[in-house]
Amino acid sequence: MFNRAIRNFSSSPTAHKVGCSIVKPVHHRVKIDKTKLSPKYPELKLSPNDIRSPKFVPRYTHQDRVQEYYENTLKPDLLLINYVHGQKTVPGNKRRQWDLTSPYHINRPPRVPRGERVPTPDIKPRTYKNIPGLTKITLSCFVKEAKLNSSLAIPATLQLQQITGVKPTPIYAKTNVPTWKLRPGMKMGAKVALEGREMSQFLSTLTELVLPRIREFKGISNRSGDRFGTISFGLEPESIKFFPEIEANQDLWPRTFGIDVQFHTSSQVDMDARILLSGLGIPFTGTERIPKDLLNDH
Amino acid sequence: MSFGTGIWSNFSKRSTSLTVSSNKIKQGLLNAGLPFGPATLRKRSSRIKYSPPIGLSTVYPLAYEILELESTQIYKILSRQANELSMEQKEELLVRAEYHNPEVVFKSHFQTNSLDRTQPVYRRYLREKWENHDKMLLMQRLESLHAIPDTLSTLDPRCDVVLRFPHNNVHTTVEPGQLLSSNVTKKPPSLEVVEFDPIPDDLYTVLIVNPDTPDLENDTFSTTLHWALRNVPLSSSDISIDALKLQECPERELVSYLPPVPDKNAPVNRLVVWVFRQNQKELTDSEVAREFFDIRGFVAQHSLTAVGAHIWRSGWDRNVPNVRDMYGLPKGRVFHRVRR
Amino acid sequence: MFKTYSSALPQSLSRGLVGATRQTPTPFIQFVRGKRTKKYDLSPAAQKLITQLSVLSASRKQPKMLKLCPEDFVKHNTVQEAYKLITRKRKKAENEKLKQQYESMKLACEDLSKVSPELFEAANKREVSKRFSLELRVPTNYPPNVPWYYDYTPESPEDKK
Repeated sequence: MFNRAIRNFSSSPTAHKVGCSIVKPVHHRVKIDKTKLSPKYPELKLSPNDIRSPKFVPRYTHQDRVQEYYENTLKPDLLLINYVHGQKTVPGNKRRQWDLTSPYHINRPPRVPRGERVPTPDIKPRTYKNIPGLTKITLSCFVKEAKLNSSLAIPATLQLQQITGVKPTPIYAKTNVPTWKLRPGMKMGAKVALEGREMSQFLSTLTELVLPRIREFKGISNRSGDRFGTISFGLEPESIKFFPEIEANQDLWPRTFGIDVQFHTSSQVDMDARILLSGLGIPFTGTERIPKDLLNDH
Repeated sequence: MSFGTGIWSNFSKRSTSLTVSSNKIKQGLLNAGLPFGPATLRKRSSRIKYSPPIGLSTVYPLAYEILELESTQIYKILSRQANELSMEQKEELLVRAEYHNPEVVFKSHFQTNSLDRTQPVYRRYLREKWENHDKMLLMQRLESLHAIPDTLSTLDPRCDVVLRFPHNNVHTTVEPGQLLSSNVTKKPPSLEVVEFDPIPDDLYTVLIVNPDTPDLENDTFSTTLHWALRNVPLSSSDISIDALKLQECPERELVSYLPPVPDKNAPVNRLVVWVFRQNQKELTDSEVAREFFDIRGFVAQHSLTAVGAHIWRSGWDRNVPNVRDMYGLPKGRVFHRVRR
Repeated sequence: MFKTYSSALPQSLSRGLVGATRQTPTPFIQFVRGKRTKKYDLSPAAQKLITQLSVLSASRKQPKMLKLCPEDFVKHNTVQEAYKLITRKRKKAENEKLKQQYESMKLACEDLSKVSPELFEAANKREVSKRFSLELRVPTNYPPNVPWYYDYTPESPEDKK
């Protein structure tokens, strides 16, 4: 109804915008990295992959058995399991444009998707290019009692570091709940994101040493998941004692803290992620719900 | 295959500049360990103290073999399809064949002064070094001193221009934007134009212009041409423009060198060096006015391509009258503040 | 803050000498910057927290920087580049294999749908809640003596009761 090319009152800043930076000097042909021009700290100008750089971290230090197993055994199997002939793309629930029946619709941000807060991704046909894989494992440890005794966050952090061998980052309370005496900014625990070799190491410890020894553990619930390929479960404080790093000196750990484990996978839907995780040695229990709207079979 | 038997030790078709000349260093690079110790370390104490990292001597021969095999295959492609490949493709393959050769890597990291510019791989390493520092420095100085757009609108630098003044026999290079005294700039500079692309030999034009000459009649500044060279032949082996080259053929000097002689109390003058490629065409016209020089008109008239630039600054100092005497120039003006 | 030395001789040697023949020489005092002189009495719980924090601190995880001579730097780079090259080649080959598998699966399905639509329908049905067997293991360098229980049957719920 309204032509978008009509200049209206809200578009003048865009119309008068300069095409390039107006801060002098104006670099229009060559991008200038000022840190490289400074004579200070020559070793900080090196790439982090250079062994002379202080940021250098050796990455390929040992064989990654889990990764090799995934590449050699799981990948072809997953390709076969997930293959359905004649798949089509299932469009996601996207933001809705205004219909421009009113002049006030121009430049208004699009409406949120119907029934959702954020848009959902398209589900594409499963091919050899998008075989699901485990990308990241996040462990987070939130100690409720830390709101009264703030020093409890320290052993929780240390426990995460002992289990994973990676330095955790602290997590803080975000909300203000006066009845619980919770205020924003209180240190409540720690979290750690594992990738690469550390992730494989943690996964094999979890599946070979810890999970088999938890008596009441039947498997991760088949209902767990965020619809788009992230599966999470919790470990009780008693189960943490089965990690060999904690078990070796139990007298140092009078108290252990439960952790939440999140498996981030590159699969598009949860059911593919569950198949992948079962191949990596993680059992599942309960009945699985298959969301029909995410299936792109025919 | 082992050290000394593969393509990287065969110099029947490859240039000898692709190997390290010092025998001790060469043996260090072509052996699993270091037979003569760390020969590159200067101090004896650090040579004695040095211990190589654990495990490197076991894995290095395997790595060398893998990379050398890859290089052999690239050379095979080059010899088989020599006629089908374009100049750029050939250059790219030659770079890939030698880029990871330990001797070449050593020379391009630690012996940068004596690199053979005829070899594509060394040109690639030099270009990376130039792009990481000198190119950015030049552009920053040209832009912050407003040489762009006061002389030409912009520059897409494709070659490195190295500027030297024959002052007291000191052959130090001038950093772009440096403030030089009149004693340094009293004689014409020598230039080196380092091309990184695989281009055929071409003719070059060099202009040195000063956009800060006071023009009192119009209450503004005008551009003066300080030096103009034309039809200077350069190639990958011969890159310098110096007095010797100009003596060979005096017609190359279109306008003779005029040293910067700023007036007292006038602002510091910018002297911008522009290097142009002539695209195989000869410049033949003879008369160019030194005063009120229109550089944009000149470039458009002769359809020149700007490939490099340089800049220095000159202010008035006590030696300027002597330089004026040397060149037989009239006495300089002295500017004063005028109350309006 | 102050450190006393009985003599310039090594400790063990001087200690041996003191008892036997020599007298203790006059001690000289050396200033040590940053040395804690005052003793703080902390509760064991607080002391434990301090120990835990020191385990977490970054200085514990900062390894010493390797100082390589130019030859070894070049050799290190060569090894890195060779590793990159073989990894790239391996990944390319694996991708190629998966692509072939995918294309042959697609071709087989197309053929089957033409030859026998009923069989194709059965073959193309998605298996709901498909899982890998729990006995599947990541291969190890030192596998158990009996690597696979071929006659394994999972316990049925009736047996438990």
